Formats: sequence, structure tokens, C-alpha cells
Amino acid sequence: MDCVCHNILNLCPQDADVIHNLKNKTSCEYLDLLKKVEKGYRPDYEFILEEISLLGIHNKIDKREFVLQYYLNNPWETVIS
Amino acid sequence: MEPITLPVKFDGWFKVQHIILPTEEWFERELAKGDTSIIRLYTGVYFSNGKNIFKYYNNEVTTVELSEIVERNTEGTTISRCSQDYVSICFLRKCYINLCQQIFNARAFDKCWNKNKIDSELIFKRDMVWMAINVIKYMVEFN
Repeated sequence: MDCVCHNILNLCPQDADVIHNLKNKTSCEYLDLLKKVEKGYRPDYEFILEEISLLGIHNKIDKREFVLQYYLNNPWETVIS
Repeated sequence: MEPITLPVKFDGWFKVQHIILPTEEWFERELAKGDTSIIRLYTGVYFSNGKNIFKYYNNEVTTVELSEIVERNTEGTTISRCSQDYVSICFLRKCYINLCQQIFNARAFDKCWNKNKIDSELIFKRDMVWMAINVIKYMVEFN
């Protein structure tokens, strides 16, 4: 499942939109994780935990747009080939 | 407005119907007005004394069951109804607190405690529940 939001295409995304998209992405990734866990896998979910933590404190950090964009444009599971 | 307590035994998405009825005092006051009463404008006059629900029909007052009010078309009646969605995750929260407590108890006050010593299964469960709580919040926000 592709849960990456290519929000970087929007030149001036509104803060609320970015948060909304990140929440959407996180929800999607969590459901993806659940499916994998149901099948017996134990993937590294640290990235999802970071996203949720960021959503909780995003208005308290400096230069948040860069941090938000990083999480918005990277998948939770890195495929190592 | 008085706060209400919803007796839920499990977590979930609940649709709650609020029913507003005129009081018995209102009914008696309107009835006493005779021809100028607003009562004659309604096809169904329902009111409540806080304990029972009554219906006024053909100059007669009878008790009615709540089910009638719930199913009745409110048009032309004294019934006001609105429904509201409520999401309960209190049991999930309790589960999260229990898991945190179990991890804390396993850690105790051991000075040599390190992350690997704690049952990783407990940490995994706690993380999954914490993620679920947050994702549910986002989903409710998006409706």
C-alpha cells in the first residue's frame, strides 16, 4: 500500500492541510501495519510512532514545515533492496 | 444544559438521539388558554413530567412509551429530535494505562534496568494501543 503523500508538489501548502495530510498518511500507515501484524510480521513501526508524536507537538517546534514535509514525503517502512 | 452520562459497556461509535418534549406545566398553561392555545396547531401533542411521557389526543391524556416517541414522525408534533454521534475509546485508554502499569511493575525500582529486560511483547502491545488511540482520533476528526 502506498501511503506517501506527495504534498511537496503543492508550492505553498497551508499548515492545516499539511497536518490533515499527515494525519491521513499516519492512519493509512497504521492500517497497513495492522495488516502486516495480523499476518505474523513484526515490522519496525518507529516511524509511525514519531509521526504521531510530531502531530501532538507540531505547533511547539521551530521550522516545523521542514520536519512535517520530511514525514509527509517518506514512507514508514524502508525497503532495503 | 445538564451533562449526560452515557452508560457504554464497550468502545465504539454511538448515535445518540436527543428528544426534547414540552413540560407538563407548559401543557396545562396552554390548555387553560382555550381557543387561543397553541395546542390546536399540533397534530400530536406530547409532553413530559420528567418521569413519564404523555400524549394529548381527543381531549384525553394518555401515557405513551418512549418507543412511540422515537419512531414517530416529528412533523406537526411537539417533539423535537436531534441525533449526535459519540465515539467512546475509554476502554482502549484503560487498556493502554494497564499496559503502562504492567511495564512499570516489570521495571520496578531496579537500578540495573534496561530496555531489553522488559518484556518486548508488552511494549509492542502498548505501542499498538497508543497508535490505535491516536489514529481513531484522526479518523473521528475526518468523520
